[in-house]
Amino acid sequence: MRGVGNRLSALASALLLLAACARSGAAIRVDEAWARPTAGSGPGVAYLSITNDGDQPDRLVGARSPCCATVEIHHTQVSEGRMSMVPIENGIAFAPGATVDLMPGGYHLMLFEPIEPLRTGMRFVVTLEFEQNGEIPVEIEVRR
Amino acid sequence: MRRTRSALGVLLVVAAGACGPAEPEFYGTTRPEVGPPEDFTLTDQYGKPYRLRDHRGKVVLLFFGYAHCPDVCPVTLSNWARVEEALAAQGDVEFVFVTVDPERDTIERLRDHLEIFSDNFRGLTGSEEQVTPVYEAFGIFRKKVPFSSSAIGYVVDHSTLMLLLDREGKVRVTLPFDADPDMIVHDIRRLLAS
Repeated sequence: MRGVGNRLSALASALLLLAACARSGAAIRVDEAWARPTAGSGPGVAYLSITNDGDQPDRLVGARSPCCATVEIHHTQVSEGRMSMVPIENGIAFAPGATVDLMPGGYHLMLFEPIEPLRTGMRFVVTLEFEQNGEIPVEIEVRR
Repeated sequence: MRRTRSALGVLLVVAAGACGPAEPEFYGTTRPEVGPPEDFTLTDQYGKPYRLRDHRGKVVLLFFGYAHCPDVCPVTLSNWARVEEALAAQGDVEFVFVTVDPERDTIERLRDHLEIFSDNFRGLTGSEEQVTPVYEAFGIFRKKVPFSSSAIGYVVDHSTLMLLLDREGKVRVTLPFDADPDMIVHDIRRLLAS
């Protein structure tokens, strides 16, 4: 009887874990999440590396954070010694197995109107919004 | 005798291998020394006039950017902080950041922004009439681009090259915005020694 109870308990735990994975979008893996410090009410910028470990394509369509009023996905292009900013109309596409690095000089998250200046050592959460995998919270560390 | 020559040959080969490839004179792109040095006077982040000519005798790193710049300008300023650290005992170097966004970059805004990176960097601003001739003199591209779908309102597309001015105030070397700090340090030391 105890054996059956243990098996039921293990099954329940597994189901809970599966449910948690489904909510957090386990197919999406995020590494190297960091942001630069800011001053005053000036905007901040966050970088991260995102990998689609799943077998279905997905798309990063938005982000939000309690750290600031709005979070936007931007893309900087540097060509022939000039930089320009390109609006992201349809998010960032992730083929199965693909990694996209949001890094200096490319894609990045802009953090507008921070509630307080982002100081080195601070940590905050940004929730990434994916078309298929839903919302995925990510912890971001502020560093220079 | 033959044995001595062989040993000498081996020694030379070993020595050449240890030296590795020769270091370039400059990692950046050099510019010919033509024409008189440029000059300008703008206002620094403390509200004081800053005249470039007053800093002859020093090597000047010059970059044109803005405080709302998403990531190209912070990359440059972060690297400058490492360069400043490496040159700590060397002096005679000015780090000058000229805004391409005088509308938003007030002296207070520049002061707040530069303090993130170093207390020793100079941030310069001025009226449109004051900054435009400076961009022209140094061949800096700058264009305000509306970005209505974003909270940023507008962005400023701009040149990303870093300029190195020699002790006479002439532009001698240009480097990309993300140049390795070690390479920047190398080129500055070359200019300081020349």
